[in-house]
Amino acid sequence: MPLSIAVCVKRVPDTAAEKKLDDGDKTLDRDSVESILNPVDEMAVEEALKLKEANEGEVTIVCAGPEGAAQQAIRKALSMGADKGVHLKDDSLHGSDAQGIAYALAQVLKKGEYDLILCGAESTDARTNLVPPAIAEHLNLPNLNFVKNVETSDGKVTAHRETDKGHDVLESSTPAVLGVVWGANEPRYPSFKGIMAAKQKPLETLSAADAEIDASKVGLDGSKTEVLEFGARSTERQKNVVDNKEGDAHVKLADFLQQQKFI
Amino acid sequence: MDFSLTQEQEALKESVRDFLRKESTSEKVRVVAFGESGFDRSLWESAVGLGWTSLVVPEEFGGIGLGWVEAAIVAEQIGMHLFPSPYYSSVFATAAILAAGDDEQKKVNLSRVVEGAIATVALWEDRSFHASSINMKVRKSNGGFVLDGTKLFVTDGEVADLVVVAAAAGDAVPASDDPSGRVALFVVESSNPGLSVQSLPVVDKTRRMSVLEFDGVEVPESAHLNAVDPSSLGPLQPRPVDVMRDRACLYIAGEQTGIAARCLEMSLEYAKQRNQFGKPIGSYQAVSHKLADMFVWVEHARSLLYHAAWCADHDPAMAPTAAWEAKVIATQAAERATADGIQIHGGIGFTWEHDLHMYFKRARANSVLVDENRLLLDVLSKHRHG
Repeated sequence: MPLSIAVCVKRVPDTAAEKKLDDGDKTLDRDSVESILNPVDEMAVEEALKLKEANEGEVTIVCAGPEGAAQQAIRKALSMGADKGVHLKDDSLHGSDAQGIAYALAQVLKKGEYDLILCGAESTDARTNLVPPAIAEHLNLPNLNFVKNVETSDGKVTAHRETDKGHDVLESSTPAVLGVVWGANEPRYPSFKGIMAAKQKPLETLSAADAEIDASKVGLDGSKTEVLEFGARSTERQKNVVDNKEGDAHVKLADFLQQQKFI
Repeated sequence: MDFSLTQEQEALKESVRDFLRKESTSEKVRVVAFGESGFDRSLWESAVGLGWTSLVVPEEFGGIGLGWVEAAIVAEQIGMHLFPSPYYSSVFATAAILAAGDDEQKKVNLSRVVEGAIATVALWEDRSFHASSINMKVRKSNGGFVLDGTKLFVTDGEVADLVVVAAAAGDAVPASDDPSGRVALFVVESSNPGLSVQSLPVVDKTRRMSVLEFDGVEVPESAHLNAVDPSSLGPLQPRPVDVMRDRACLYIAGEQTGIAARCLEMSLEYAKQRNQFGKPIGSYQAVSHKLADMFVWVEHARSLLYHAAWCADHDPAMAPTAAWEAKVIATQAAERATADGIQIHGGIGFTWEHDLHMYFKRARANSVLVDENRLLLDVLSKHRHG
């Protein structure tokens, strides 16, 4: 049966780059660093494309953010093979925390009819893991989080989750919200043909008003969390110098290694 | 005027960068470069699958029909990641077929290149390219031609499926280069029984070179790339052999720019983390001035590169000199940046384990590809001042 799949994506600073926070409002300074599509979201897109290839259907990319960054994220997913994009663009969203963004995305998702809503389980910049379950909560849908190998049949979705204790197989009715885990798959690279084709694919832009978003629940003021201060992580390392004044350095070293459970 | 890349060009750059970051890591480059063949077919097929070989091939011949700005983007990323592949050879041969072939020849040959057949160009017979230095013999025979001679410095000759070869036209065929008739271009299958390949020792192991011996190589008439009648061209119109050479210059300028840019990145990172006398070495003028110079060279090279690429797409009259300038300056940038990069890295920069020596060697090997700076400066000088 053809599936209608939405994938929520986010543009994040390049994983290899040094990130900076804005001294003023303590949000991420996105202009100071090259950005990429969140690698875990790429895996969610890949999972959606595999589902589409197995079942037919349509993949819609949903992204909230400023024009350049969000549209680049959507275009990248479209060039991988997704069918259309929805861009939620509104200055009132600036500074929203994970809860605020999840609420805003849920409002956008309410406008469509989707069998599955996929997200990367986390972004590589904030790493809160909050957005997929919060979207599920706002939409009152089941949430399967930290999953891979997603399959569907007869109105059900099955997904696999690896845990410290073993391997869970989760099953749920659809529609459902799934948080795809890091390493779920190897996302395809956009081909040059895909990049050119993405230009022609539909991309709808919505304002907060279009999505009926309550302004008091988003933005810096509407967020439930607040960044009070930030600083660079200390790079000082603990030093233990083993002296050999009494000729027993080897014993001391062995003791140290044993205490630390290295041996 | 807006000089920034379009959204699609940015997406293309990101796609190439992401692919190379993962598939052309230092470890993988070393495995391929220091392996026996210097070639990894699965890596090549991945790049072909993403459309790299179809980039500048027009849609009517099976390609994507993008331009040389996009090719420059790819070349720059390849330089940054030292991608060990026959991509340069493929671009060079594509440019030759586009410049000299008729529609049927483009369709037949370029559709194979698009699908992943490896093509290269056999041009040089001594250290420099000049029409007068092409002595490969061609004669008519049985409705086709027979080629005899030796070609040096053929990049990726050992893995090529198709070879575009330049021969001295003589009376046998019309030439592609000048009205008086000198150089004619042919497409030869590497499986041709008269063709033998011998590898050459190279400084840069990431790009192999060979000697090709043509001993009575028989080719059909359709192998002669004869779409352009040189006698119909005005004195200032570029000949097909010049166009293909200029495109190769442009491509190499792209790689050289990428090499310089990557050396700047590595050196900057190292200068921030390596401490001497209690401070990062980047805070000392001897190092910081070198880094600032490297930045200037990279910017200079990149500006000329994209100007040349734009000219190749939109301004054929400016395209030749723009490509030569880009190659001269990008080569200087790459040679200086790799040399200074090694100095900034100190002892570790000299080690086999560090990647800088591979960039250093690629920069120097690239400097003599197509034409050396010395020769390009000569022609630029003659072009500018008569």
